Amino acid sequence: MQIQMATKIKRAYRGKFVFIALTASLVFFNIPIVGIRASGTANLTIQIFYAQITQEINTTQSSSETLTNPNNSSLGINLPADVLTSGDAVELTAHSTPEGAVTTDKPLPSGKVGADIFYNISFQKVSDSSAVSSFDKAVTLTFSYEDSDITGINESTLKAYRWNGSVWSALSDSSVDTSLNKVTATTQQFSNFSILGDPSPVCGNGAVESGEQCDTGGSNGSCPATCSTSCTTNSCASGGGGGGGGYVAPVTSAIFNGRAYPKSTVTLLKDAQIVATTIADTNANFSLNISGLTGDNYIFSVYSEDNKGIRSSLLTFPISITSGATIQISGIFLAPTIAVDKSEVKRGDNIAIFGQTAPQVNIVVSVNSEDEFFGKTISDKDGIYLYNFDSSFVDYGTHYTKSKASIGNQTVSNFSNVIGFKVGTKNILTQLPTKTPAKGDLNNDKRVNFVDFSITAYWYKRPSPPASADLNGDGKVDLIDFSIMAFYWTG
Amino acid sequence: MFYIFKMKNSQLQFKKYLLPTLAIVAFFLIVAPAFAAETFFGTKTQEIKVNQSFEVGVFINTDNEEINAIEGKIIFPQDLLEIKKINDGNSIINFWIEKPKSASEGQIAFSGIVPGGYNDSKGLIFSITFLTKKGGGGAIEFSGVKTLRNDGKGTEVPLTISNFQFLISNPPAGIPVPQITTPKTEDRNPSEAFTPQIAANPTIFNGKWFLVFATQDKGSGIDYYQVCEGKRKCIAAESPYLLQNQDLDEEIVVKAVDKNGNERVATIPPQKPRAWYKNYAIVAILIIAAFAYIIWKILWKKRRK
Repeated sequence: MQIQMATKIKRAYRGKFVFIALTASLVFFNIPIVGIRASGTANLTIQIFYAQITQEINTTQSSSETLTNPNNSSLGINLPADVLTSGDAVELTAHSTPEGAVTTDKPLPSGKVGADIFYNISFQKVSDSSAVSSFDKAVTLTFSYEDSDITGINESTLKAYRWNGSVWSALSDSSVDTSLNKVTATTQQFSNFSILGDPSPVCGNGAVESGEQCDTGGSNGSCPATCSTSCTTNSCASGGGGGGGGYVAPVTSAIFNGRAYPKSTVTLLKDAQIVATTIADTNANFSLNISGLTGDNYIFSVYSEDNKGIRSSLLTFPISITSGATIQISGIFLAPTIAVDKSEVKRGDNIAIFGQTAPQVNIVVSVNSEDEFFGKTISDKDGIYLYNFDSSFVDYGTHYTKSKASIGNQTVSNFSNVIGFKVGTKNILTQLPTKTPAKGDLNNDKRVNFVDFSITAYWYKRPSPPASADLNGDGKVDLIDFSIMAFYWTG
Repeated sequence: MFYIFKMKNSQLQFKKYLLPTLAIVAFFLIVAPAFAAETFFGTKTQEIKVNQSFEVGVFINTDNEEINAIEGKIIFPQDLLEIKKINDGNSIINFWIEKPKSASEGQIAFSGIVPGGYNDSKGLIFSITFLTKKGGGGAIEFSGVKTLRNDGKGTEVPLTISNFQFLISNPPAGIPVPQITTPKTEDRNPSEAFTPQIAANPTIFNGKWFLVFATQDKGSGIDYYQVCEGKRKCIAAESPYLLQNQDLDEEIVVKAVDKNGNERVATIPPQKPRAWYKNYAIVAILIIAAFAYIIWKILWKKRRK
């Protein structure tokens, strides 16, 4: 099932630019990932969750764990003593996630409506990390819900359901306490769980349905009675309304994990503006956490600068974020930086192609000519790589080179920026790229950002623009100039 | 340690695969358009009736191309449709060069960029809410749409356009036309937090200080910005905005107001200390002191007499 799902996603996101929801996501979280693509062949792991816990449990004793969501709803997991007759210690992993992240590939039973929050519970043995598929005793699950979680559901019909691998099946002893907003059930198997119920009666359709005291036009009192707007009360007295509660936006956040270059500064852009920076560790790992988001669509970009100040290409991915949830994007692998030691190389001599990436990773260097040449090397402990290309393989003229990095067979970066060099009759050493972006930095602050955009926008379609704003030198400022600026954007 | 290899098809392989390749190419040329980015419209409205509001989204499918700039126009029949609202909330466009607006009768012009590039199958550019005026058939069409690659050169991406054909149905004779309005969506969130910047550049405003600002509103879209300099009256403004106070010694407040009236406020403190003569308290004290001195002088002269 997992493999089939992964295959479907790969098909859906065909081509060079592929978003791959890694099988790991599917195995551990059973989350269908849609609507996210990273530019290039980035292998990203996306997890969406409201809350998660990981806890080691001694199965010889009774224990209790609670997963609490940001809106105060929760899932209680109560294990009796000797839940495993072997007595093995287990590690519990549980997380909650939005309904939409689960039901895309696990459709709900016909006629049932799910609560907003779904859960995933799994156990593995501490000794050998093998999954525990079932317990020898039943574990009690207590789903505490908020009224807002079950909008559109007839509360009295709520039951706990488990995804058994092919369908959602109701837990046989499930019971609901509508006064305490709790559903309780027991299970010995673990996977995805949620509380499902029948749709709420439709208030206003003129029919008094189950769960309604009355309905518009269907008042059943004798005074005559007035039906409330929610169809739940039918009274003769007009009561005063209650005060409204304050609106508190749920915390919505995103976590970005990946690899850049050892000790490099990593910059995160949200909708093209810098929102966070961090320093990667000596193994090039970095983590960035931002909050204060809303449940909307964002375009995030990540880039870094190597130890010589050469900037990586932007890795960009549009992401749809669920309100109140945390989305974790892992497996980001920034493209290597690249430079050459000569702007012109005498044909037959070597030209050094070098840059920085993560330590001890495979590098493929491509030289584009009439034919494309590929060379391989490995970065050193500082992430530096060097490839000496024999220019006798290519003809006289201008050629272009780029590189990409890979760890094993799965984690592959995008290609780096493309840089050119000439094969001629003499060697001309080149200067290392400076921190100043090649184009688009109109105010010379070594950045290409909204200030530069605004200056260029001022000259949009105006006569006689200055050369600094006319990035392609065609005597006018039009969409092409903005496209060039967008390519060199730093935020 | 290093090795190199060369990718080149042999002539034999070329001939071997020539016919099947040509056949496949011919098949796709006949049955499907060439791979290209596509701009298209989308609506959830199944049936369009007279005097009804309906929303049409303007989308792009980049078809695995990474694009970073787009411009164009939307043309619609004025006799059938009237624009009620243009919403750029949740757009993939980060910065508008020309915010989508009614350029002339029956046209909406737009252009903007996505720094770093965008590649996906259904990117919302903006949406338009139309009100139908009378029954009849028509089309909402793209005109002059251009999409550029994120390649540092601004090369144009091949583009196919899919226009939106519609039919507005008349109500049966004798039945009054119901006034249907689009349900008002709840948007309590202000725009994204933003940081306006003060800048100067010899190429614009004669090198004078100006203010740049931009933010996004994911719900209803930005309606307008207001700039308040010191105690001056707040005025509606667009970025870049030439500052009235070139001394930069007053606080500047920029308000981003979305189409539901939610406000996001950003404040820039004074960049320079205020000149003493601009401080009204000091001036007032000096005037009072001078006035007191004059009175004292007069009284002192009277006493001497």
